[in-house]
Amino acid sequence: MNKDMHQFLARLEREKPWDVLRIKKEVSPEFEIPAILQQVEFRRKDPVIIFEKVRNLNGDLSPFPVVINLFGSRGRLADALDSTVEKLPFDYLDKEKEVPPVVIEKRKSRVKEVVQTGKAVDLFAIPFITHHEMDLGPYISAGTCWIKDPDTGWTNCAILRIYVAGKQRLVVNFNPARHTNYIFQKYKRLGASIPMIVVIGHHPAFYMGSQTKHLVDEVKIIGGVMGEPLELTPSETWGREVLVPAQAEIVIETELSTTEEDIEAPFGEYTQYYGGQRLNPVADVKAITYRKDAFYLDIMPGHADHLLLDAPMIEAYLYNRIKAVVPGVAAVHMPVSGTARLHAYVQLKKANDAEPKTVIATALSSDYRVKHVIVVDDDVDIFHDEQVLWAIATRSQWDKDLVVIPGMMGTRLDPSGNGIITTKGGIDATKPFDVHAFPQRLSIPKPVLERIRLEDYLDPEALR
Amino acid sequence: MAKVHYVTCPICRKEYYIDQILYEAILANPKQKLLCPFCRKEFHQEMKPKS
Repeated sequence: MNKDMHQFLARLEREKPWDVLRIKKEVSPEFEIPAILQQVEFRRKDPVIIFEKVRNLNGDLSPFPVVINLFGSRGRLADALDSTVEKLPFDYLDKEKEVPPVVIEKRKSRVKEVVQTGKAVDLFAIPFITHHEMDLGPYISAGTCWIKDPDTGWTNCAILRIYVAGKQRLVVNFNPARHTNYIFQKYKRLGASIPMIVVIGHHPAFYMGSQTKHLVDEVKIIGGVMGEPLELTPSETWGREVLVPAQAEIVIETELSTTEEDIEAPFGEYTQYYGGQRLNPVADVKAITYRKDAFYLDIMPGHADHLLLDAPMIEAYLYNRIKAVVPGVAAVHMPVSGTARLHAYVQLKKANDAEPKTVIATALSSDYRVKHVIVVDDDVDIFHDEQVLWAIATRSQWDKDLVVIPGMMGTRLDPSGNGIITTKGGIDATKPFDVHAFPQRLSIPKPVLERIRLEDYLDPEALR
Repeated sequence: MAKVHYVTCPICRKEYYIDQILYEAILANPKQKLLCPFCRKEFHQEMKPKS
């Protein structure tokens, strides 16, 4: 049986009990869960939080405990791939390969333990969360939406924000720049509605696999990243024609309209602004299936839980793209300070003075969200903002080291842009290739640094 | 800069904003439904084109 979210959490509680908080007091899904997470973050902690007693949208005590902040630490993402924080993007690249799924019977599929179809379907039984003050209402924030390309048969898996509009009605946000929208437009031209499943809750590696940037059958990449073929089972609505992940927590089967739209948003987004109210396609819910002990997984929008999930994958993708053109790239980091999407720091061991701007051009065109690229030498730690800022302060002259490209495709969620049109740029903050013409950075002799142990000089209490 | 258009809910009098595409939809159809995120009531609002 596939690894799943329950196993991951059980292992985490066993091996790193400080990384899981359980809250037994009853909470409301409207603002209270986000408020508690934010208070925990103010104390500079980032555990997974499991809320054991949550009211649902009917006002009853929900059978689903809520899990939030599962992706809120790079350490946990690394654990999901049996990797380390430093090696995570590279290990992700190694695993990002196609492994065909396997189809298993419904009776072996835990997601089929409870099945609701027809009039029994009730979204309000699930404790969907209202996160921010101006959000339109409860949203599904950790749902990976599976849609099959009608031409290739490949399945695209994307985490889309989904407004819970009624007991059997969802409104799904579509972004013009995403792969999902290209597929949506194909169905629209055919005049057809779209079978779409929403998968909520699985092993973190499942989610990381679904973030692949490649135009492939993403179900196979999920298997590669999980390290095992993904188990699928027939859906209730379409049978073997549309398959669902057999060991997911919850699956919602919907028919997505290409003609009917309804109001959606405002919704607090990863840029930490609200997207304005808009019209988006409607999805009618045909079935909900779930495990008897299902968790409801939520991703906290605009917080580390949201920002970090995609960061290692973007880093891996950019690293590969840059490496093909500039082999001296050492590492790529998407800092949380830049929403883990808009800023990219690139560490480079350069072979000539033309390489930094080549890196900038390559990175800016590789992901529509990447807006600013800062290239630094390999003596600058790109996991610390202050080091990158120091490199800009002391190694760049903006009359020759700036790249500015107007009119590129960006994210419409950046309020400084003009819809999806934005100006992108980069800074070459590297030393000249002829380093003998450049001053030396401060250093303490390495043998002394390695010999000195703080414990020999200081009380352990002083080091806490 | 991104264009958002502020609307005031006639029921609870709180303000929020809509995006450019919805704004243009309202210009074309003044009866276009809006949904207040604060009081969760539907309303519609006439909007005039901005110069």
